[in-house]
Amino acid sequence: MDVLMRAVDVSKRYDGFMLDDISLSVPAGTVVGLVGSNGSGKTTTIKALLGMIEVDGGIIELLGCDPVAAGAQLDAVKQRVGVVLDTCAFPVTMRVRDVATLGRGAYAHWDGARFVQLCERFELAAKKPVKDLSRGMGMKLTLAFALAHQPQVLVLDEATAGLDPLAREEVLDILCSFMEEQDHAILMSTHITTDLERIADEVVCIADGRIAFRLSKEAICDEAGIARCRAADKERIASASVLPRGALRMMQRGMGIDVLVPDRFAFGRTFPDIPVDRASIEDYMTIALKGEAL
Amino acid sequence: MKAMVFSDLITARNSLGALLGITVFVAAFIAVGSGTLLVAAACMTAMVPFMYLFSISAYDEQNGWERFRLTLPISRRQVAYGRYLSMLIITGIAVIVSLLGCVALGLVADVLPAGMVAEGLMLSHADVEAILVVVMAVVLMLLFSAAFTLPLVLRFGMTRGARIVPVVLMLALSAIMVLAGSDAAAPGVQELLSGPHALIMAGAFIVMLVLYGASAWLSGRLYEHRDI
Repeated sequence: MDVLMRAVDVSKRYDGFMLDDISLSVPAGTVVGLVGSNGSGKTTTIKALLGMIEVDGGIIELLGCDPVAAGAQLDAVKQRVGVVLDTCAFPVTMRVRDVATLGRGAYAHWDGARFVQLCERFELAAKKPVKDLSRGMGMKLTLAFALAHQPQVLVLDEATAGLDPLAREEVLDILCSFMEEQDHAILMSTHITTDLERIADEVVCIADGRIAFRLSKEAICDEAGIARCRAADKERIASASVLPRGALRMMQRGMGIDVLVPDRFAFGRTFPDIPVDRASIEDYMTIALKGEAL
Repeated sequence: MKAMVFSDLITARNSLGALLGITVFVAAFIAVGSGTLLVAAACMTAMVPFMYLFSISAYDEQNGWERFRLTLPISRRQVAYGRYLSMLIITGIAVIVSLLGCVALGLVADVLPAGMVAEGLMLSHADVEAILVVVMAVVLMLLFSAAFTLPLVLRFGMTRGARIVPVVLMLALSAIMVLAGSDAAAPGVQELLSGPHALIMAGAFIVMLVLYGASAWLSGRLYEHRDI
């Protein structure tokens, strides 16, 4: 399987923040979700992958080339990458139709009809000035722009933030359609983890500039679970677990404790008296990042 | 680079019409007040490119446009070079508007009853060579300003750059004035000014284009290493 984006041991130091040994890959045919709290390093990782910043160490590959060293070749690579950042970034003096003109000037494979079709679908009038668009409408415009030049890779940074539930559903449908092509891939950073539950294949969590976990969505949402334990069960679980001590993470919840278990079926067989729920990505992330070792 | 120039011109397009309208209106008032087309020509040539230079740089910092633009198939050097080229294009448009504006103002002054406006406003009395010299002198001043402003703005951004630009410009102008006033330089400057206008302008343009090109080269390198 072709890897369309790759970061290997990437580091980048700023005053008061450091991206440290970040490794992730986005193979063709997959949607990789990037999660983590604000300021954890998600956007810096995306900027590094897109060649927008020079990294201090590690290897970056975007569609097979190093985006910083690529020079003129990077322009050809960027023709195949669609990007939606966390704001509608087009200058406020532009109108929706000007964005199409910009796309036509910038991209060799600009599909004007596709842009118009997406704008109609998103109810974006051609004459509407960018300054009059709501945040949600602005994000839709950026998404239409990103999709209309027929990219192979989509990089979305908080692209669904600010969208109402219906619009988000629509955007996710469009992303699913985009993924019908086998050689396409999406890297999607978001705080709305339910979006990832719907479309992601892999979830990468970044905390304090480091990878906290990198798991398939199935490993989180199908295999992992949250054991709802009493405080008295804590020692029993810790000593009986097949996992090494410290591998399980727990979080105090009122009178009880929630334990994040990597295999809820195995846990259920060992402790049939302890209820285990499926874990959502948010549950998993919360306990993995904020919980303590059992 | 085409995409960058395209991007700049699209960004400016919607406000350019209004800016040109305001400029012609202001120039007409100044012309009537001063009784000469020369000031109007200078005003119409200078206003739009100056406003363009600062407003286009300010748009870069709004809503993360500068950051998003780096995701387009435009390299950082192309961003810098494209900005210089778009400034040249806007200056060219301003020159055309200025000359056409002078013709229009002059024609209007010609048909007005005698004594209503100064003779200096009439096209029939216009000193065409003087107007051309003024327009070209303003263009030189614009290119000089852009050549000093753009490297600072592209390196530090508009917000920080705007604080540094006046200081650097004042230092540069002071240096030029000191050089022009010194015993060694004065004869040369005097000789230049007393020569034929076309020759002076041609020489000045060549020097300015070299300076402008060098400034673009420097900006390209500075912008390549800026954290955005």
